[in-house]
Amino acid sequence: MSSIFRKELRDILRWLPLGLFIVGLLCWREIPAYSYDCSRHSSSLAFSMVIGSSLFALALGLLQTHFDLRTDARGFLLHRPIAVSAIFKGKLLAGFVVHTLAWLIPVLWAAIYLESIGPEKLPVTWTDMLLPAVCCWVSFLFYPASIWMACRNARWIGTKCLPLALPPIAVMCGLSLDELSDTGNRSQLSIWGLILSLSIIVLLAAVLWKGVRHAFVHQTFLPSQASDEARSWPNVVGLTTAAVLVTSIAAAIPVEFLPRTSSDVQVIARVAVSDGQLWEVEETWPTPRIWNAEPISRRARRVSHDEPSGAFQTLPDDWTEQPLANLYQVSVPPTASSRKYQWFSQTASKKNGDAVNLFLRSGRLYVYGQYSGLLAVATPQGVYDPSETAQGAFHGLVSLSTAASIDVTRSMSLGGHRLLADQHGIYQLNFDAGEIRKLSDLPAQSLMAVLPSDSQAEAILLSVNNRTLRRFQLSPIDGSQPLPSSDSELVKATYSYPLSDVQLTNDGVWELPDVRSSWSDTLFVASLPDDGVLVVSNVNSKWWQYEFHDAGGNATKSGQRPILASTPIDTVSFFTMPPVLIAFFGAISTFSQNGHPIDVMPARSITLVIGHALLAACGIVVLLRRRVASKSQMLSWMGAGLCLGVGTWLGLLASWPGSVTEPCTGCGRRRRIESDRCGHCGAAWEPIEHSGPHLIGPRDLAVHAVRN
Amino acid sequence: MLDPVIRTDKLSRYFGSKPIVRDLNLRVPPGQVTALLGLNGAGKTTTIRIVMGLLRPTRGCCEVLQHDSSRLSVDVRMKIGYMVEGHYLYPNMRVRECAAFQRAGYSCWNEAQFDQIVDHFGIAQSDRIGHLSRGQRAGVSLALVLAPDPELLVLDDPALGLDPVSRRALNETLIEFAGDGQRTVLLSSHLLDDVERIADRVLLMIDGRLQVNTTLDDFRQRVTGYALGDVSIDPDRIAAVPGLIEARHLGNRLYLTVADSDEETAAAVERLNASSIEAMELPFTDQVLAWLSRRRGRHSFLGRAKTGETV
Repeated sequence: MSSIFRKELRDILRWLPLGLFIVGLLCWREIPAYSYDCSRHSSSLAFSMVIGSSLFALALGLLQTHFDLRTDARGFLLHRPIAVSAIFKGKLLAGFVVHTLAWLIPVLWAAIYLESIGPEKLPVTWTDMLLPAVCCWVSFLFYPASIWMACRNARWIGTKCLPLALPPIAVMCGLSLDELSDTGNRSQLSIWGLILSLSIIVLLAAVLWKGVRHAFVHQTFLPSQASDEARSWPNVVGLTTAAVLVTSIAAAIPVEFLPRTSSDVQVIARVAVSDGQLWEVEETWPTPRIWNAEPISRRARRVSHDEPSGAFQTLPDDWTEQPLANLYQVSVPPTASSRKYQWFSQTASKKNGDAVNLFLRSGRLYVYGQYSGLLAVATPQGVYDPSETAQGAFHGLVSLSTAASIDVTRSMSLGGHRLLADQHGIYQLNFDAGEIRKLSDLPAQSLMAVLPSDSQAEAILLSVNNRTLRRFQLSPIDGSQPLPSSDSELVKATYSYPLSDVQLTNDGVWELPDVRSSWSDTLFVASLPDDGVLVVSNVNSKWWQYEFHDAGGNATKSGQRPILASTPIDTVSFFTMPPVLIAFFGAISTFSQNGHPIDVMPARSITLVIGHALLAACGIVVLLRRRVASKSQMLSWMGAGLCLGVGTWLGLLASWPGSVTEPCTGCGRRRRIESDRCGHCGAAWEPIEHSGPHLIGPRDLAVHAVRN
Repeated sequence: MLDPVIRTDKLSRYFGSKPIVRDLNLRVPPGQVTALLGLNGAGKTTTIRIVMGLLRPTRGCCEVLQHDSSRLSVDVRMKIGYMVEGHYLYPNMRVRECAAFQRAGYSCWNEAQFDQIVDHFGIAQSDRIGHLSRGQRAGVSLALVLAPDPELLVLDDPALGLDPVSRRALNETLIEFAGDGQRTVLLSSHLLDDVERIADRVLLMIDGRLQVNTTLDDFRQRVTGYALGDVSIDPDRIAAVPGLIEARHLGNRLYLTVADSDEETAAAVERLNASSIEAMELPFTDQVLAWLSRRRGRHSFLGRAKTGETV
């Protein structure tokens, strides 16, 4: 194999500069120049580089295979005392080496560059290149896919290119690893997502490996297309998966672009509080929704502990809504990512003339100017100059960047001096003054502020730590005048509230029910007129619950309500998806219904899914009639058709072309040319009549000599 | 009797719905040089590719050295030398690199023989393949297939595009290689002079079928000709001549080529009422051309030449 490897390496090494140029250029474009670019630079680098490395892998596979598929070149390569599978492995290994060099060199260069400029200039380290490296490595799957495509015998370019539909799935799974690893310790669903992504990559790699190996080792010998040698299970599985994927997407595109009439509005269902009462609100918004647009209509119904919900009714004009503070559940800061500097927040700085960006590393806040390098390092002990040795560290740091306002449909940005919280207290960072003040010694996992308005004079800060909800009065540090109203024209125009130096006053403590689960990352909290609070949270994907607490910290009443679907289910788009997927998700939804009033699988959807499955199965029967399938093959394909839908047709056509037939001299019916005997009457092939004279064997030993 | 080196039974190969090789029953005996002849598209290269295991037959079977050609093991492949059509080599390699690449896997590699053949063609070891002439490339190809000392040598049109000197060198090498009767050679060629010089057996394929499979001597004895003077052309009568391969009308004479001529043939020729009948011994080239011309029809590309007419 080593000789083959050296030969292949020598052949394709000439394309390496092309790969270096493509991947290197895209890498260079995405190298961050300013601190703000560092918020997601690892992901953007991965995205750009993976496009380049995928294109290079695709081109490399085609270039390496195309020339060897010529009859003479193929004969010269394959006829040698080396197993064909070893020749294939040598080819694949050479491609892997060249592809790896094409992305590894730019990645190494970028890693060295990032390590050399950070952290004084930018919050970057060499580990930021780990995600791009993993994604580029996954993009190598384009290489076997292109070889598979080149070696495949197909009558139509569309089915010939089918293997190329598989690597993009793996690449997308690779790109998702960053997102999933960032939140991996926050949600069990993310952990399952991580496992699922990795499993899909491994599975696709296995299918591609088997498929391309079969194509190279068997299909290049051009067996009869209908023969068993032309097929293999990876071939069938890979091509059918790709066919179902392509068909689903191809069918979904026209469905998505169909002119819409009734559904050109978006219906939002949410909860609201008004006059201490809980309401369910249904709003209709135009699509696309512009940021400062108003709802087309708004209807509501009161949620009562004693009475069943009535119908939604149009609200009177003087109906006003009370801000609901959203307290996001944050367990610990994200640390699972490969990035050492986590984008944390942005805050204003008059001294610096612009905003400064905060990055968290090892419990310390690194403050970077928008267009300059490291300005300071903040810890609970103080704000340090970069030249100083910082002392102390935050533990489980969270920041408050938004606030609830009178316009409940939009969140308001909280500018000014940033409020922070960790396991040891609540702080306010005044970067311009170079100080960090501790406002409270009470730990907090999440914060939310309710800003003062014309209708509500007091500013409130809410914090949650485990199951304890605390309310603080928020007031200016000097106490001379109250915080300005969020109803001012400037705040309403900019949707940003400048927070000055504040102090906290304890105003109440409540013990919350233990309702927070993977379904509920957010608690909605509203202050009530009787100084109590209302806490709303999701129980699961179907139900939400509310709990009223009085000023003494006691729960007074509670209840559960079904979550109303926010957008109507587009049943037509169901038709494009594999029926088994729709049935799976429909079954999960139905089993977790628990008396939920919204039917997740309406009759129209069920009819469409069953119709789709039956149509696919019938089509399979028609297609298999030309393919002389055994009973087990017929049942397998029909099962695949029922589960995967009409995409299976393309998979069948791609992996099992129709037989070439000739009339049988015995029964007159069409018989497959590759079978020794007629499938209908069992007759062997008649000897072909010779035209003209022929000479067989020396005359003295002649078996026969036929004359015309 | 020794087992045939190559054996095919009812071998057929289709491309799409078009049969290229049909019901081929073939035996290539050991220790002989067998020439595979035929027009372009007759199925020679397809047959060779099936024999070499580079193409699967549609139906029927093919055995090489008593092994199924579709599943040739590494050990069997080691015993077979194969020169592909056009003498394909990797153009960016040097001759010595080519040898190093080729020898991988072979248990036996005669370096001296390789060097000798390369020298014979006037090639330096450091020459780059891409800079060699066609004849020199053929020399390197030949050296590569002969260096492992194969039991069976399969050559697909080895003299294609070679100058006379290179052709002579190639022929001499093959004669020397197969001269001891220990090795078997199967070659396809359009160069009938070369075939006559080196072949022991002749296989002739027309439209994917085997029309001739015999020794060269037997072929030469059994294909004979008649020259008839001042004969009136009656296609039905001419076609009734037993064993007729081809009839050509040139000037005022009719030339007949027949297989296995006997008294019955002579009587049929007599019935054509020619002013003169002359039995001829045909050269090998004309004998083969007679078979091939049956397939092609008119001799002139222009189609209006008065030089000949085929019946």
